Amino acid sequence: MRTTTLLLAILLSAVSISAQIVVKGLVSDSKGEVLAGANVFIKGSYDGTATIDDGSFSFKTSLSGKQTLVATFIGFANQEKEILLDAKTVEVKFTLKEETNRINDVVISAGTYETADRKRSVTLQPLDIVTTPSAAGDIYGALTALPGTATVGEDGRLFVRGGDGYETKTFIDGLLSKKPYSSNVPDLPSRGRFSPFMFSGTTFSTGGYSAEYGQALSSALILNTTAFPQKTQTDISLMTIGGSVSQTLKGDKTSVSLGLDYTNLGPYFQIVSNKFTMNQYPESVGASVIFRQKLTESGILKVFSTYSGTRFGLKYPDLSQQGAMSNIAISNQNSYTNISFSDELGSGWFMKTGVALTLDENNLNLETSTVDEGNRNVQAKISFKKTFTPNVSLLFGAEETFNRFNQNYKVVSTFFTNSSNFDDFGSALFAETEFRPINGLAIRAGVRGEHSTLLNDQNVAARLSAAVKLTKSAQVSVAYGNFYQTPEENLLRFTHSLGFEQANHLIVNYQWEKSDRILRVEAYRKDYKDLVTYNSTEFWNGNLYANSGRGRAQGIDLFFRDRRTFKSFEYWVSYSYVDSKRKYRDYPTMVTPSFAPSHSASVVGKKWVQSITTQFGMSATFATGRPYNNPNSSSFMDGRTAFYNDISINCSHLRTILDKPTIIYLSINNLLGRDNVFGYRYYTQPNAQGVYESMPVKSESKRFYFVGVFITI
Amino acid sequence: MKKLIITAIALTMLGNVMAQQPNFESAIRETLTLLDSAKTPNDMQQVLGRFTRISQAESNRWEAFYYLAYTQINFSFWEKDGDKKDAILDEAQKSIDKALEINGDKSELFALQGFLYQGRIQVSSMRGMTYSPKAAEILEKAIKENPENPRAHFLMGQNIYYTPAMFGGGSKNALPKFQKAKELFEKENSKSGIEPKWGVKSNQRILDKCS
Repeated sequence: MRTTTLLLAILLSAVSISAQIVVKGLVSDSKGEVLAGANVFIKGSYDGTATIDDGSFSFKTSLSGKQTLVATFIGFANQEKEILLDAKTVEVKFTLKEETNRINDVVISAGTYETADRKRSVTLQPLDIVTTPSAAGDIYGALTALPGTATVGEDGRLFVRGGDGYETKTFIDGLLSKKPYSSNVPDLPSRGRFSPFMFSGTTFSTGGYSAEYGQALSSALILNTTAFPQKTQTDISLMTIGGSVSQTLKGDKTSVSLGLDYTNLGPYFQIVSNKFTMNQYPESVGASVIFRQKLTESGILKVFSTYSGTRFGLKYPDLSQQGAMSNIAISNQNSYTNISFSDELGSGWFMKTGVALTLDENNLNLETSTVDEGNRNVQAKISFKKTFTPNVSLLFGAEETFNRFNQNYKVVSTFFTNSSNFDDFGSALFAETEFRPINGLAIRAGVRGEHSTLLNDQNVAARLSAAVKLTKSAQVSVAYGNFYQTPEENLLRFTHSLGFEQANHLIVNYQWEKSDRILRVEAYRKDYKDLVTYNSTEFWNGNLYANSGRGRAQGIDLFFRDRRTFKSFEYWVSYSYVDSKRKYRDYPTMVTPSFAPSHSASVVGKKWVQSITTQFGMSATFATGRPYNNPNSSSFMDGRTAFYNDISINCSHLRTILDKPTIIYLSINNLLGRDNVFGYRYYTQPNAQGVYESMPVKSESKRFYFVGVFITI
Repeated sequence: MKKLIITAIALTMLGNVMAQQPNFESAIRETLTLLDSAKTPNDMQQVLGRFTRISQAESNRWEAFYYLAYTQINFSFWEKDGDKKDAILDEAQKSIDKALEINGDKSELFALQGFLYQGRIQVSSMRGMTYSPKAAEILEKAIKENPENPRAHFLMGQNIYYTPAMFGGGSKNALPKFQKAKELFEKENSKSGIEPKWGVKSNQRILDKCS
């Protein structure tokens, strides 16, 4: 008996060990395509396998009874199936559903160019800005190598899709940067005030942007500062035009960077000839503080503050008198402070808040007249984002902007003076939801309401966009939106009885993206309403100002970038066509404005040569002629300049000098020395033959050479 | 005799249970052998599958998640498409986070995190500027947690090796790290558990290149 029990026990256990059941089947996706490498296993056990090339799987198990079989695959939702292990073989079929929030999913791309470190598939990386030859280290310069922007060489601001420079606004960490451009004398270009190294991510919207942003008719440039510095270090740069030094101190939860810079183009212009006689070479001093503090596990406080002072003076033709020159001088003091805090609040809530302060003092001396201008701008903003499910989220918030403007205009000979001072409180509320009702479709719907105390006017703007995934690598997006903007301060000097200017955008975008190649085609139509008009001869007469202008711009943008075909070589090509017409300001008729050349194209290429640790870059820009007004002609704005062409090259060489990592940078802008003419200025009085004589508007010097050494200690 | 029978039954029952749920350590060892001999992406998928299964069955064993992440990072090197590489590394990140959550060996997991950051650089060399210092930072932490961890030293050496000489990198600067790692690897040889032991060969290979 005892022996029997023992035998039975041994036998029984032996049986259960050998009673293996085969579990087999197939794993495919919802389109019926088989998935190789999917993991199939019995929950809570080691028993399972991965599917082979034909999507099939088969494994043995000694488990029995009711079990849960799981199939998993990257990018797909896990699937569980109850199985009963009672036969010799059990067959199971899995059809996995793609996860909607997976990396390749549809992203609304109409009108936006995004750059970030983490996202690789985006169009431009932060470093691209610095290494684009035609950009000369300027963020705005680099963006003009993207389609939808026009090269307006005498201005330097971003002119987007047939729109004026003032129609683009810059936001840093979600907050307005009121004076993002350096101050310069008329006809010479300004540059961005901020170093591209400060930012880790850039979103450049050429239209149809989110309801979170307003007060820009054409475009929003959204810059995000870097989160936390990598380590304690000292950076020194020595350039042909000046130098800078910055010290970063990094602790576990806190970091501080202090920077100082000084530029003076004097030595440069003494060697390289330039067009103008300079009374005061361009000179500027700058200081900056960047502070970071981790307040909670996920919350980070960012503070940055910059100050800069610039002055510049030159002799410029006096257009009221043949042959006469006037001394023009400018001095500018600017400071910008941006404080922001963002944190996760738990259960899908995310909060972002901040304050930005711009203080700007600008004194322009035109010899015959002086213009002293002060601008103070404070913006406070708070927004919340709630993610309900990976497919549904809601963003809402409020924003308050205070803008104080004062200008003193003096005519030296007649002692005529005009002072304009005004304050404006702008309030805005916004809400926007993004949802994905089905796989491969994303919809974003937002609304924004604004009120201005100065204009005593309000507006409600709708923003709508959607994207549909066509194939794994192609998608189509559309965007529609209303955009309002308070008229520029210069237009509010003589009257405040004006309303918001308005633009409506409609954009259709096709994007194809596959293994480091991206193609974008975008068609758009922009309709302007209520643009401010006035009478040029009686520009001081407030009664003649009205929101009676209008305009439109339509066109096509193309962008192709390839980082795969050639080893260590990448390039991008952009082309824009725009048909822009408007009647605004003092335009007597509806014409193409001077800042909207019909065709623009550019090619940027970069080659990295490992053996000499050097990167070479080249960019070529071409644009058809720009309109200008010739007073000798009977019709308005019918002049066309010759085409614009610029070829720029650069190279960055990495090496150690005295054991310190060093970058040596060289660039030449307008290598061929083409004498580009941006437009013409005419004398206010005709000559003896009754002809108005002209003066071409060009850059300071034909070519621009730059040499810099950047050392990190 | 009765006692004997009961013991026998108990033993066989135990054996039975063991047969159903093979020993955790032997399962890990067996899968590591498969990983060593993996030659095709499909082989890797099989290994990945096994570690996934082990980790979900033994969700309180950090080693399971450690090896899962380790395999995922290695697998990302096999993949050519950058987006897919990133997707695999995202999964690996989850595995490391999980292992840290259940109080896994900090030094080893930090070292693996450094390895993952190095994997991110493989996607685009432009990323080196961000991820190389990140890797260095976490590897330093790994060494601080356990100065005897050879993998932390080896990976640190690798980080330096692939940093351009002008940024303080290159073989000359990396050599001491590899030598230190070699010394520590030799000490580790005696260990027989399932704790991380990989890296000896790779270290030797790169060491040969340096000298």
